[in-house]
Amino acid sequence: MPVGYWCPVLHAHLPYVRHPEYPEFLEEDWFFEALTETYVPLVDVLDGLLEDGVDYRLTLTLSPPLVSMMTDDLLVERYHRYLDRLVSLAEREVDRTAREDARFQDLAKFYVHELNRVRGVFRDRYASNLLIAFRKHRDAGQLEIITCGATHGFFPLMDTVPQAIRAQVQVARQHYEKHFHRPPTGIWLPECGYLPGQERFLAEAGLRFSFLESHGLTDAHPQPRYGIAAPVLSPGGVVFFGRDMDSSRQVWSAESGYPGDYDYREFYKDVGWELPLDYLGDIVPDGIRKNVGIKYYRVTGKVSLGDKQPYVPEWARGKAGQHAAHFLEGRIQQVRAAADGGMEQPPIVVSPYDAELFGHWWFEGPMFLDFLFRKMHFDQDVVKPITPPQFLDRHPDCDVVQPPMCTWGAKGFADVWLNPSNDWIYPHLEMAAERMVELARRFESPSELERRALDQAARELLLAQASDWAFIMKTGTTVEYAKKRTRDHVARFSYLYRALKREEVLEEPIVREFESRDNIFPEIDYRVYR
Amino acid sequence: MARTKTLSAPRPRSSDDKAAVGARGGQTAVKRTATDRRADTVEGRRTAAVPGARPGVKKAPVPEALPPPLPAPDASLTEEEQIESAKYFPRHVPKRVFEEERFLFPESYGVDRVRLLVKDPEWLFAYWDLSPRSVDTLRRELGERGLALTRLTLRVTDPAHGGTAVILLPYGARAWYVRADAAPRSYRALLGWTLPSGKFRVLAESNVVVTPPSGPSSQVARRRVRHRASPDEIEAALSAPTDVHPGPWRTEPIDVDARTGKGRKRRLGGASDAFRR
Repeated sequence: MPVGYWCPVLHAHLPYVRHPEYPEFLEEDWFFEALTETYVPLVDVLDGLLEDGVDYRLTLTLSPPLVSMMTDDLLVERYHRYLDRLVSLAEREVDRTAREDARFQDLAKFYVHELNRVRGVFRDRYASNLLIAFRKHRDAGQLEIITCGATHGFFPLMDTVPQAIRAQVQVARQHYEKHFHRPPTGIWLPECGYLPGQERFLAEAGLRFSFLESHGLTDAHPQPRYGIAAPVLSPGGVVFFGRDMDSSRQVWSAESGYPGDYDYREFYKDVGWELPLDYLGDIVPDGIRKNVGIKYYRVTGKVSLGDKQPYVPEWARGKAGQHAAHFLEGRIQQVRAAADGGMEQPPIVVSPYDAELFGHWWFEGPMFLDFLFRKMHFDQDVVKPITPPQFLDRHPDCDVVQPPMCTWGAKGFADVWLNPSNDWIYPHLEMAAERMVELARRFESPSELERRALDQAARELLLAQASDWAFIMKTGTTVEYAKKRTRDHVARFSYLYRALKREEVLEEPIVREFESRDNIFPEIDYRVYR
Repeated sequence: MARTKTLSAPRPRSSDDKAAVGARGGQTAVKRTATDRRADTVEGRRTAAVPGARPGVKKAPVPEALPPPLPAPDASLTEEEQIESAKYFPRHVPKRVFEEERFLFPESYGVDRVRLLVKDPEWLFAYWDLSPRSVDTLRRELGERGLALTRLTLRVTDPAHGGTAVILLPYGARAWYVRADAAPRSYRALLGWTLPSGKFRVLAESNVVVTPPSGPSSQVARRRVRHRASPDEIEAALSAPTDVHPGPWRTEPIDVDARTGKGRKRRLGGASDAFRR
């Protein structure tokens, strides 16, 4: 038996962005970039580990909006277009660099190779459906796929309408069963947000475990004996694992973490900002510059973008190996120190990250994971990877404690999602949720059109509740889009509410248009709000 | 992620992380041009989505009838001006049956209500709705002068241990950040009128919220149970609620100037100008 365990958790989520009303839509690129740089490379790494007999263990949240986008015909078709354009640009770059700057020609060839590999994995190996890959690894017993709130609603700020939280959980569970052919056993609470008592909705849905920020365990009442080194059982019967800060910081922090190493690829210096628009062509179809994912420079140091030095993949690969060894050594010391404290069971170190950190932000992240799992498997026996259900099977006893309110946002509470930049949304979201409950109770035997309107009202409410919009308003990235999404969903919901109450005419073409635009959760049943 | 899901840079997860991310972002962030900023507007995206709006850009397939031919770009314009002018071109856009742009968030939903949310251990967020009917009723009862002397008021209490913060709200306020006590407490808000006579008339009562602790419990767990334990077993293993009695919440009334919005006598339980909307 190892001295302790390491439980890596990747939280993969993007808001549902799909705009069939436009031939191109800038924000759809979030999904395409994440597929290209994170999800497909991650699958490729896991495939290699499985093929080589590496006993890796990983817990992966696939949020319902992300799963919905991965299985949406329109978005998959548009991703093919996106990837083809990117491969085409990379190929043109081979010619251009040969003519203009031979320093980068090998790198241009590197991108042609990498992008073709991504295209091969996505299109040929998995028939444009990554869920096939994730299910394969799940069935091999090495990947634990968990769900999330239906649209990543932030539960601590939804407490005034409990049915809204219940619907987020129930719709997510049903969606998971549809796509993964069995019920989920665990859930990632959106933004790791928890209020005491909210676990009752998880327990009702059969969800047995989740994760909390570290102070969710260390500040619990009573104090758990082993801090975050062991899971706890909440009064509502759900097990919570606590986030380890040391291992988190090593990846999250751009300053002190691995991604800031001078040999790694520089995120901000991208050819999409530097080459002529006419040359970039259809990769920027709307003429708006953006990151396209082809980057020729390394972090280099604390220097301006103009002083960055060329990226050397071999150096970066070497650093990824060194960092994997460093990370492993840190976990070995961590579990030894915890075990020396006199625990009754092996300690567990839980390391949750946004999946998109690996590959998109930290280009070498998937490579790091590859090295890390291999080193953990072949080089030592002190610490081994594990998933929460496997840990609970081996060590089923837990302290019973009441965790406090907590999130994994800055300062550990709701500041990110509740502040003067975004607090104006909550009265409207709460009223919409109350009205949805009212509709669900009022309509026992709706007509066919009314039923469609009721189901669509539920979709609009869920989409409006995505925590991403409040987050974007706070961080100031694409604020107008976040406001537009909030307004559009509340506007559509409001129309449906008034029409169902016969304050307006319920028009089938309008309902149909809403259904075609916001087509998430086609099987939703509005009665989930009762 | 860094986005947060807007995929641009890593998202901060703690104050430390945030600082670190900011440091790197500030060091290397690419500045967008004025043209690029158009991407941040809905109108800009629409403009950019007009097929053929830019020379040299491959036209996207259009599902229905082809758009009318577009005028040739004026060579005397800068690239940015050409893009800007594109928004005045005749557009081929899908037929709309519903225009979300016309929707305005209601000032009031026509009900008297107040809600509390917990922001963090030190701050609550109160928001409310005030029906026009309530204002009209008061106006009929007191007349315009009496109405002018009446103040909308938020009374936040600790229902478990006592203590009330009284906040005389400025005209037109719809939400307020309320300073909470340092000790974890439960809170309930009453929204109402402070009449010229000084009497408080309740309009609505909020939900009850509890602020979280900001440190570890003084008690340590002693009993373990199986993670699949029954509710009864869990109940039996649960420690009693913390016996630390915080005592009554000590606050002083806050009178926020109706014109300037600035409060006087700011003490614990008062409202925050910093957060006032």
